Amino acid sequence: MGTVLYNIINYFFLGYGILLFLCYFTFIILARKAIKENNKKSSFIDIDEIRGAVDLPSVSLIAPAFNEGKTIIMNVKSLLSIQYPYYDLIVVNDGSADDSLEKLIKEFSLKEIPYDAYEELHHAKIRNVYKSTKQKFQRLTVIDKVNGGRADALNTGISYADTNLILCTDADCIIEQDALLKMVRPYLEELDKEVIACGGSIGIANDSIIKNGVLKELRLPKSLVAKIQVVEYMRAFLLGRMAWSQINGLMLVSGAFGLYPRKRLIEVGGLDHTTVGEDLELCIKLRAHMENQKLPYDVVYIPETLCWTEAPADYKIYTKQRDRWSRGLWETLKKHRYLLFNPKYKSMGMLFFPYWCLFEFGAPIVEFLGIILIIIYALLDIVNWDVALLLFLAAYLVGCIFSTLSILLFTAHYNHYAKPKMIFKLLLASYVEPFTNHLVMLYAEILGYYKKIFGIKSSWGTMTRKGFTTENK
Amino acid sequence: MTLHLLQNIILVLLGLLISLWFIIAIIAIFNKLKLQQKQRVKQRLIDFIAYNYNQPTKAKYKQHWLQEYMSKAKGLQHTREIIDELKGFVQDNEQTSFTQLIIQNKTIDLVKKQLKSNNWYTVANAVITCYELELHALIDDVISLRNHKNKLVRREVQIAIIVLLGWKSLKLFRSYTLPISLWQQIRIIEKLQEYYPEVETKFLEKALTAKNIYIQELLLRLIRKFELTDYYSFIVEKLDSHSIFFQEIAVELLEDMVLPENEARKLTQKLPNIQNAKHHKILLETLQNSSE
Repeated sequence: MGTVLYNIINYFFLGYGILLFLCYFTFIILARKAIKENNKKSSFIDIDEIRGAVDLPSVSLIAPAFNEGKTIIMNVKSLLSIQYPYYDLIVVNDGSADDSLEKLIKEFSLKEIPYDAYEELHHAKIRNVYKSTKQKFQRLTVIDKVNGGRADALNTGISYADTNLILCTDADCIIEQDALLKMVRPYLEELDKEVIACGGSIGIANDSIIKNGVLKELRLPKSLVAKIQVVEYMRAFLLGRMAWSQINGLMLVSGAFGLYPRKRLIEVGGLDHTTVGEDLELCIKLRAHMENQKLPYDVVYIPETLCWTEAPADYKIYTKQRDRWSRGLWETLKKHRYLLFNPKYKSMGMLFFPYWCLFEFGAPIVEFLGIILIIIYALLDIVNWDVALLLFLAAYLVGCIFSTLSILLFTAHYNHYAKPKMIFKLLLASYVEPFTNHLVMLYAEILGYYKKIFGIKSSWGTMTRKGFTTENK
Repeated sequence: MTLHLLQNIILVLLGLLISLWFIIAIIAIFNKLKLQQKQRVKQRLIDFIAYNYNQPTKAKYKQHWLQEYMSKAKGLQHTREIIDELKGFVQDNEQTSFTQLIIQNKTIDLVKKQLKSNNWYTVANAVITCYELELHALIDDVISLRNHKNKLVRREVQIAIIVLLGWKSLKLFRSYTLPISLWQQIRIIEKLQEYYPEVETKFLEKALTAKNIYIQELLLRLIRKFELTDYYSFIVEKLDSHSIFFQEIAVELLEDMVLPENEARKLTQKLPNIQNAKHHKILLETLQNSSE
């Protein structure tokens, strides 16, 4: 009986590992195909032609801001310099306790304007709405409201906006000037399927040079924690998301950079403010909504890096972030558990959602249990250490190969980290990841699940920003 | 046995990892060389344009090199992309003269062959070459691809037909049954404006009988873009359409339009039937703009 149990447990872990490996291998094949196809398709729609076109869909950029006083002016200026003929910028000051609003009012010559109290989405009370008295800042609207969280702030912006499309971003992100021109491409080309969400790749700009809100020189982060996240983002965005979008299985568009049709956002009730994983929840909700309506749809992903953000540079903030992501994942999967193996939702119910449950949600648990098991086996002195070490080495090398493949795909198609020295540093960072960031991430994820199991209240948390490196004028 | 197997697996994985390092290095070097090659070709083309005006003898060497380069598939696409880039800096008649100087029978034969390819990407690029370099000789080959199975090819063919035939090409829209994207519509209208700014309404009127809803949408946008006030009624009438698609298109197009008196009167009569508050507001503003 004991031997049977022992074998079952061991084969479970082996089987899970092999299944995960096969999934990642499939991702690589799909991602490569998707990148090639995307590169071919994008060569047929020149962004310069979009720039000069009329009849383009109008876009509202909504940037919630909470205590961003240190960088808010630079970030808003960056968002105002985006090259797109029909867009508005709505900065939602979500009850900041610092001087964010005062700085905005002074810098952009804002004055209060009367506003329509008609709300298509529920949100916390708006105190005031501001517009600039200067012509050059006419695109800017600042909404000052009572604190309600990020999702609530976005809903306020969505409700206020009057455009075809909504771009949800963060006030501390640097968006490439031609980002909207590229993000709007899928909407211009949609035919038989409606594009309900479009995401772009997010890059890490820690220690890079930013001038007037524009990324002037991309550098690798100095901190190892942030450097490893560069590779992690490459894997997640270039491999993972491209692969999923190839089979219309993308279930997550990053909250920091996602473009949606306003009509559909209103129909699904906007973002859910009861979860900290509102971006994942929104994407799943939109997909489920379209499935319920029996309307063909697509969730698209643009593999180019169009948005730059500051990643956590130390383990304290990194842990908070991953803890929040895992709680968001828990809340979202629980809320949408009706999808699991539900044939009504076709591939989403039978394949994509189960994948998220089994691997995205399950992997930290399986890994944690695996570590516990190794410790127990070691205490019981039933570990074949030769085999165990070789297995560990094999698993480690597989991880290194996947990271190297991500870097290879990135180098082959994009020139952000083209210098040999940068590539070398990224490779090294990815090879130490399993011993550093990965262990901390595992701890943070299990911590997040622990909090959910035992009902320990925890919110979005505060990410302390160092701010980008700015070039002196 | 297990140990031996694991050791072999590890060796294979290590070999794979080291191979990937070499591939990364090769890709980095290849990308750099590719960029340098592109710069070289661009420089030759710029030199050719410059020499063509003040040192024709020197231009001949560049011309010969460019002609040979354009007789190969990759070279043709690359040169076409550079010419497209340079269009922003070189005036129309000068640009036409230099593209005609470097296009020769070999290039046309190559494009004709590419139009018959099984690969959609090759076909689409060949179609773009046809209209960017105004290869009128290949118009029949382009038209035969109107119903190609790939939507990107179909799009480029539509644009090519507009560029090469102008308003006359609207005759073909009547029988077109496939959907066309918003971007395709935008490009068609832009190309008509760029190449054929004088409207030939007889072809427009024939096209207005098309059943395809996307063609109808395109024509409504055309009417607005070219400010064909005699045809504004087609847009206003769509407000009564049973199709929400057409209602929304009509409202979108009527926004910021200045309507003539008779159309403004029609719109005023239709306004009470507009249930959607946002649409109502937009149309009210249009009426206010039209009365000023």
